[in-house]
Amino acid sequence: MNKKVTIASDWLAGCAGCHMSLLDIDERLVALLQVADLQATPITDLKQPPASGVDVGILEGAVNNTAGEEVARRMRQRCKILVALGDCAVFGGVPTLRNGFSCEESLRRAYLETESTAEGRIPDDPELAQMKPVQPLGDVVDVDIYVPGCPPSPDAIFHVLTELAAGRQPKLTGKLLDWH
Amino acid sequence: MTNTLPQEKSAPAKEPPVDLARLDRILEEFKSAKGALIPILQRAQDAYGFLPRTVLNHIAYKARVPLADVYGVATFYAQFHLERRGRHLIRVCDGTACHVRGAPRNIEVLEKNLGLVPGGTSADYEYTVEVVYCLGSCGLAPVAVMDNQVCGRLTPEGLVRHLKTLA
Amino acid sequence: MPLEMTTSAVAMANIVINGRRIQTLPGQTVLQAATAAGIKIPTLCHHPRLPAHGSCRLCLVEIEKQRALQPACTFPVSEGLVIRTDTEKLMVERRFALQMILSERSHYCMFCPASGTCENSDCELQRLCYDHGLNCWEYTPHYEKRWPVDGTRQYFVMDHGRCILCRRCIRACSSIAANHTLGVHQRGTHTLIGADDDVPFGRSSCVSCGSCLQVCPTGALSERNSAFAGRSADFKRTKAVCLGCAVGCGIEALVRDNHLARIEGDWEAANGGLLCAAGRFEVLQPRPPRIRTPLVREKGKLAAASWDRALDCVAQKFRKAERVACLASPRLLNESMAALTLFFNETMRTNEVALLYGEAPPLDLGAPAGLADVADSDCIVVIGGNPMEHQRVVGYLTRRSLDHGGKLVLVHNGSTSLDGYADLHLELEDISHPAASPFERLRATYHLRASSLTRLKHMVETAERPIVLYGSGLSTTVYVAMRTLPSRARFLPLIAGTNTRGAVRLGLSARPVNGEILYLMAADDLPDHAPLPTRQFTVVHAAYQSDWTDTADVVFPALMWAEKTGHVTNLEGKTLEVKPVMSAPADVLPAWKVLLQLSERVGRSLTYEDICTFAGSR
Repeated sequence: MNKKVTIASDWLAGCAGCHMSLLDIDERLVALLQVADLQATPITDLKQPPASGVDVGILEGAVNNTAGEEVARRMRQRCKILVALGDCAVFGGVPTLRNGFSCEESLRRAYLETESTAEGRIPDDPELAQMKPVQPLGDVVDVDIYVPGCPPSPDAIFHVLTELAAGRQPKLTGKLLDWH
Repeated sequence: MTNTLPQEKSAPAKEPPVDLARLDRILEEFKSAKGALIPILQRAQDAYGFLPRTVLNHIAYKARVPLADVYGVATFYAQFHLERRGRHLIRVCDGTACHVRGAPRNIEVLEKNLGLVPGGTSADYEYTVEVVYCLGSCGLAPVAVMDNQVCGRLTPEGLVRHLKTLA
Repeated sequence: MPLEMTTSAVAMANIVINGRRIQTLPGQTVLQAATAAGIKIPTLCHHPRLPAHGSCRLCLVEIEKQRALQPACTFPVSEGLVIRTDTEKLMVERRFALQMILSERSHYCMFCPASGTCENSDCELQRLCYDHGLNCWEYTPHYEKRWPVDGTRQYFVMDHGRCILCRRCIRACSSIAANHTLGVHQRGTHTLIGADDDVPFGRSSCVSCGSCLQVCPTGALSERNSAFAGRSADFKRTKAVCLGCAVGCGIEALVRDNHLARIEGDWEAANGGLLCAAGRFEVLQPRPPRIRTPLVREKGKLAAASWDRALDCVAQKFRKAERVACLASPRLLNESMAALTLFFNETMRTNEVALLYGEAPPLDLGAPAGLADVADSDCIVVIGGNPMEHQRVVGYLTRRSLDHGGKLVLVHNGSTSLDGYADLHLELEDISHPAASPFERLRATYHLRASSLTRLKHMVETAERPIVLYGSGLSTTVYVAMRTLPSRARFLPLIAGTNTRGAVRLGLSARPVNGEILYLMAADDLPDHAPLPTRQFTVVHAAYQSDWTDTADVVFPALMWAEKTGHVTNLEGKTLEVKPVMSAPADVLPAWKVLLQLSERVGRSLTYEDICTFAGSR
């Protein structure tokens, strides 16, 4: 019996929709779990990739602050193949709308100027992550596989994971790439 | 090519009136020439010092070229200026040789004395300062060209002296 | 422009594409030859209806003996060319070109109205990226650079961040609409599509014809009304006829869930894809509430009623009436026009039937001109009309003829937007009675002085393909004089009112009518003019609520233009088939059906065959 491929995932500046799409493979999850071992994901109990490393690391969401950079680097370090899942990880996605404004402007708007804020204050605890311009994952760490889509279709995600489990490079074409 | 606007577009409200007689003479000269937009713009700029909107509108109407094309050509080339410039044009070279031989200091002097950042024109329309890259006189670095006169080995003091001679 | 095929002995060129021998006409481009042979080459800035540009570099092909790859869209065929369109090198080049385009601006599909690909429109750039297997950006764009969004036009928005500078919009504005508003400003990374001297589009010489919008390959130009209303696959696309004016442009209507979302120009129709703001955008603007059932006034208030009740009520009044008058909107189709003429002449035995508005000049001045002839004319005379206002596509085609070196003769008083283009501008003389009231002067009769006529004739005589665009309100002598123009002069009447020409054929015209009972067939028109004189009893047959329906005694619901079946006669005299693109509310009937039912209840029945016979006889 083949050894199962080990997978860990996490999400950064994303909406978790790509993970929902992963769950949308529905009963194919059973088939997937025959060949893959989901070691850590935000939707299970274990949330950080194990220090001993995994075969496949999956990251959803864009990198928008120093915390995200840390998570991305740690995942890159602890996996052999890194998958950028979804448009936010691949291109930066919807969060990049913020890039039209400086970080200062964004913080001011969010914490001081929104209509429902009274006596606002921009959090400045040194332990907090620092906001940075939003970047796609590939600008921060080396990415091996890109799975675009907002979200990528469950078929595309299932294809990528089962191909990886079989030791093959997944190729996305046709309907798997064109997610509309 | 047909006219693009049914009548000549009027100038923006804050633009001072322009005597179009000189422009009409230029346009008359190029009347039967095809594709003469660039020479017309060059001659117009020579005549008026720059290219006010009134002049662009008039060229478009008379030469029967779409205004969008006249504006497109005028903004494409760095030689065309759509804003009024100073009577005295000071071009400071900031190419490699001039830069290492003190051009930034000269630029600073200009900022202090004239209150002008590179690309700017003084409020009294006396001076325009431009930073350019390599006039090809590296042996004379640092170089500035003031009203078409090349001034080499320019010190900040020398620069101030030269400024005074500009009249 | 599509190449015209001539049958003269023109030598075909023999070329080879991907190992296939192909015969082409000389003068074609490699792209045209490949397309004709069914070989696909990707393109982006190319459009079959626009002059070739060659800027996107997607169509680069390998041509033997050429030093570098060549753009197929501009490279002319010649004898012996050997071309390859399918090599690995070209695949790499195409992906690179796409990555370069993506790196320049903010190509964010996830919040773009054009996102979502399929064969018809939407985003061609996205389609190409998917076709070439692109799954990421090689070169991350500069996120911080903010590209302007120009929302100053009323009906559509320009997002410069999605623009790929293909210049299709500029080429469409120049060669299709002949408006020349758009150009390219600045250079390098600052290059922007601009209007006139860089003014907001909504304050420029733009006429909102929407030609640029229709050809834009990305979401840079997007329409407000239909943005995010669905992807192409969600819409039903039907070819139809615009009923905005007498031109009758061919359109394609996009409907989703019985809601009219977007209008596009039909490239295959006589207008060649060109529309005006009225037919493309204004027609989609909100209307007053729809009348969905018959309404009968009782105790001073209008209340919903059954068709039976409403028809009986009207029939009763009609049977007892002394004189019943009918005013009909010129937007009615030929079938309804024929039905109403027959109904009022035969069943009601009255001649008090007229158009609500609309005028046609004499239609027999000479050989007719077609819409497609206008742009090719070398001398256009516009007399007694203002096409740029009332038959706008004809106006745009007139300006197109000027771009080709054609001359323009304008004969009118007052000012129009064509004035600045006229090679000859003549005035008309107002010969209406000096004591006429200001109202009567609105319908003044105009006359052309002999000296002006001579100059006009001279212009026409020196032209090879002269066309006369003429309106109503000119004196008989003017029309007589136009009949004496050289026989190669062709005529196109500038008719006011969508189907006035169809009405005129049945003997209808706009004039006051008398009768203590009025049947107003308003179709989907809205009151635009002075209120009608009150009568004893008014029946209004209308699609929308208005002052007319609010003061009516009985209201019949009417179809609106997109729901109609039948025919109209446009200003060329062509009979255009009108097909519905939407379904009407359940209780709404076509006007002719209502009249047939009414005729039965009044006691002098008409049948559908009667209408056909009557219409056929005209």
